[in-house]
Order: sequence, then C-alpha cells, then structure tokens
Amino acid sequence: MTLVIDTEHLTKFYGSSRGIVDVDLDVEVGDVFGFLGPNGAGKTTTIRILLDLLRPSSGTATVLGLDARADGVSIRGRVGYLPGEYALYPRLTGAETLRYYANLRGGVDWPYVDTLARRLDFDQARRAGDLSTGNKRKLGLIQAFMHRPELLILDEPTAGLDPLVQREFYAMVDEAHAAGQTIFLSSHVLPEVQRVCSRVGFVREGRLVAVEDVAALGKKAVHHVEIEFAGAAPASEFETLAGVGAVRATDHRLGFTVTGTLDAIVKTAARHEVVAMTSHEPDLEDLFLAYYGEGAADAAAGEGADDAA
Amino acid sequence: MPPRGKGPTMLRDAFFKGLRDQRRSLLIWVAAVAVYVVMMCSLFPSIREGAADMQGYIESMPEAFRRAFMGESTDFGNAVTYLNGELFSLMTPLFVMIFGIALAAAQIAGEEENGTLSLLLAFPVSRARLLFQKYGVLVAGTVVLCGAHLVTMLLANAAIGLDVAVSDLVGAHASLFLLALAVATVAFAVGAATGRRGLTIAVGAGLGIVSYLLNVVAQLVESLGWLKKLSVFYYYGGAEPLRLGFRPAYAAVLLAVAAGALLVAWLAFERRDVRV
Repeated sequence: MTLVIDTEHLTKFYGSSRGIVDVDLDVEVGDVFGFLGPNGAGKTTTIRILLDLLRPSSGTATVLGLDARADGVSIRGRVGYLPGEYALYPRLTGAETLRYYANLRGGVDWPYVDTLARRLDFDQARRAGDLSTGNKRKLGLIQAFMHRPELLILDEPTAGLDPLVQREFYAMVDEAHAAGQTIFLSSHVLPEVQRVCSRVGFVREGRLVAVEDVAALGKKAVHHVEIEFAGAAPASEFETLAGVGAVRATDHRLGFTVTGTLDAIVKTAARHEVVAMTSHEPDLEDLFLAYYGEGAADAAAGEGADDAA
Repeated sequence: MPPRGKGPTMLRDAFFKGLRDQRRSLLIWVAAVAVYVVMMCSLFPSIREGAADMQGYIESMPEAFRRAFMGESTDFGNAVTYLNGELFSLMTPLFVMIFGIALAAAQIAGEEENGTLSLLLAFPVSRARLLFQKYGVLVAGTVVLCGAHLVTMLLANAAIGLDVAVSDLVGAHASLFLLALAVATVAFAVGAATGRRGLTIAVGAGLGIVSYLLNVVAQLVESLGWLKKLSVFYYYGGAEPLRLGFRPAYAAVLLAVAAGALLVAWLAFERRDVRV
C-alpha cells in the first residue's frame, strides 16, 4: 500500500519546550485515521508540519509521496485542510470568503460548494464577523471539502458543531471514505474516533505511543459497569470473572470495571433479577490505562490545556 | 463561474483582495491629503504678500537651525521655499510614512495576528507568492497616495499660479514615494519576519523618527555632519526636496534600502514557522 502520510522521527521543539518527539506516522490510501490525544499532546503541531506551516526540528514528513517542505504547494493543491484554530475576514460574507478561497485554490466546482453549504445548513449571505463558532467551523469544513481532495487533514473538526451538524459531518466523512479519499482527523474524543475512523493513533506528551485498528479497541477497552439487583448484590460471583476488577458492592448495587467484552458479566447477571444496568463508554483516560497502566493515564490526564503550536 | 457576492474579481488573489481591504482607508487618506495640499497651497498668495517682512525674521534665526528645518532659501515669497517649508520638510513625508507603515503592518503581520494566515497558507499558494502579492498591495497603496498628492499639487500649481516647474514637482514626489517605500518596506520586513503587528509599527515609526532627527542633528552640529548619511531622510532631500529635485544617486540609496528589506522579508518568511 502506498503511504499518504509518512513521517519519520518527526520532531519539533519550540525553543526548549516540547512539541512532538520522534513521531513515525503511516497513513495508508483510503484510511480514515484518527489522531487521538489530550490537548497539548502535539496533534496540531504534527498537522501543521504536514501543511508546511511549521518546520520540523528534525525528521522528515512526506505527504502524498511528496516532501512536505519542498513540495508544499503541490501537496496543498491536493489536500483539504481544516485548521484547529483560524479566523475569517469579518467584513466578507460567507459566499465571498468561499469565493476567495476557491480562487486561491483554482478549479473548484462551485455548484458543489453550494451543495456542501446546503448540507451543513450554512448561510452564505451572512458576514463572517457575525458568524458563531459553529458556523465558522462549517465554513472551514466547506473549504476543506470543496475540491474533493485526495487527502483531508482535519484538526478537531467537530469542535463547536451542534450534534445534528456533527452527524452530517460524519456522513460526509463516510462518503469521502467510500469515494476513496483518505481522511486524517485529530480528536480528543474517543467515541468520535470510534464512530468514523478505521485506525487510531494515540498521542501523548508529543509521542505517538500506539496505532491500533479501531475494531480492536473494544477488546482492550475498560468499561465501567453498574448493576442494580432486586435482591442482594452477588458480589462474589463477579469478583472471580476474568477481566473484572475494582468491585464495589452496596446492598443492591454492584459496580466494577471490565476489561474486554461484557459477555461473561451479562450472562452472570442474567441468573439474577436485574433492575437496572449501566455501562459507560471507556473514555480516553481509561483507554490509556488499559494500554499503558496507571502512570501513563495520569500523565495523559495531567497534560496542559492548549495544543502547543 | 457566475459572479456571486460583491466584487468577485477583487477576490481573485491576495493582491486584489489586499487592495479591496484597503479601499475605504485609501479613500480617506487620499481625501485628507488632497484637502491638506489644497489648503496649504491656497494660503500661499497671502503668505507671499507678507514674505518680505518674514524674511527678516527668518534670517534672524541661527543659520544652522534655519538650514536644518527649512534648507537654503529664506524667501517665503518663492513657492518652492514655501512648499518645502510647509509640506515637504515634515508634514507630507510624515503623512505618507504613517500611511506606509500602517499598510505594511496590515499585510503579513496583520493576517497572522488576526488568525487568517493559517488558512491562507493552506491553499496551493507559495509563501513567496503570497509575500510578493502582499508587498504589491503596499507598493500600490503608496503609489496611489503619493500620486494623489502629486495630482492635487499639479492642479493647485496651475489653479493658484504657484509657478513651480512640473518636473520639480514630479521629482520631489518621486523622492517622496521612495522615502515612504523604504520606510514601509523595512516595516513590512519586520512583519514578515516576526508576524508581530506592534513590532512592525514600532520599527517603522522608529526608523522614520530617528532618520528625521539624525538629519536635523547633522545640520545643527557640524562635527556630527556625517550622521545625515545614515538617515533615509537625507536621501529624500531633507528639508528641501522640491529645490533639490530628483537626484538619481540619492534615489538609488532609498531603492536599495527597500530592495534589501524586501529580500530580508522574503528569506525570513520562507524559513520561519507560522503561528496559529
């Protein structure tokens, strides 16, 4: 398989402060790759190097087989990019802004821009200065998709979008994937990555710590389960099950964590009268816990608030 | 493609978009400069009447002082002396330099601080191309303002009968343009290299003020005469560009300053990280 994004030992320091360290990233043609990590982990830094907005301290980055630094213009002609943070020209309307961006790009099929705007329910007549965060994001998404690029690089694409638009965005990603486009998106929300991505790379403190198939994630994931029984909580029956830990029992309630599938606990619970049962999706910290143990999760949870850039 | 929205042709690239952004500000500057020029020129006939009395007063000033601020001639009955003193020695260069520095700050540094540069550089436009298109906006704006000053002055010259040679007016305005361009390009380079709007304005303004002061001090203190050579103001013609006319060698120095600064802008912008 040809690599659409290929970085080797990619490292970026801002003065003496860490951006990313030794990132080896392989994204293949047709991947929907989720770049997952807490804020400040180095996701934005990596993306901005791919777009040639930042220059790496060391290491190399290749996009679509071209050198990120030397062939930036050709790369950007074939990539759609949504920055994590950006401003628009307050006095231009949405339509004028998109027209300007389409002109800078060249060869944009304008009816398709209108189609995208309708899909995202974006009002092109309003001035950019009057747009809400969500609407600015929509404009950003439209310009990223407008030329049907081979590769979409989307930095936190759903931040600030309301759930309905978020769903439309997921549909757009699915369609782009079906059309053979490659998608690389960053996120700090696990369910989002699970919803749209086929592969996920975990970033932590500037390092790419693991790359997994999303389908395999569930097997290692930690679920928090809580069961309310009609009778006394049968704690002892659960404590002995494989993968179950941290069991806490009050008279009718039982709470515990499960690593892997829920099959055994459901079958065990079925032997009793169950009043209610809840299972929480594993969050990012839990996943780090499953992968790297206590120390890693603490470190991930304690990261700074902002992506260094 | 069907035209859509206002002025789609002005949105074809960063140069035209830059001009579009400046249209309101440019209009105001042109109007202000034109009004100022007309006002000063129309005062001349009444000044000329009292010029003989004024000459005695002017000549009573210390010579070095007089030269520093007014140049050789003391005859305010002469339109060239009057226009040098009232416009070209300070106010006019001040206006065009302020305009040029503000325009320079609105280019790379302005886009970067506003947060619009990240997206702009996400399109298949090279940094060099963007930089030169942005610089084109600066040059075009400065040409328009200096041109408006020239045109107004040519009209006033004919209407009021100032009797200044057209070639002298054109020459002085060429020097004026090059002065503004040199200062604004240095500011532009600071913006391109750092992306900081405040620093861009500070360095541009600093260069203008220091240059003016150096030129004055060099006239006032004989032993410091060499200092004037460090001042872009000196190459512009100091206090009397209209009398000195266009001097190619001096103009070349200003052009070289602009070219050097543009080169620095390009090299620095090519190499550096762009901030979010």
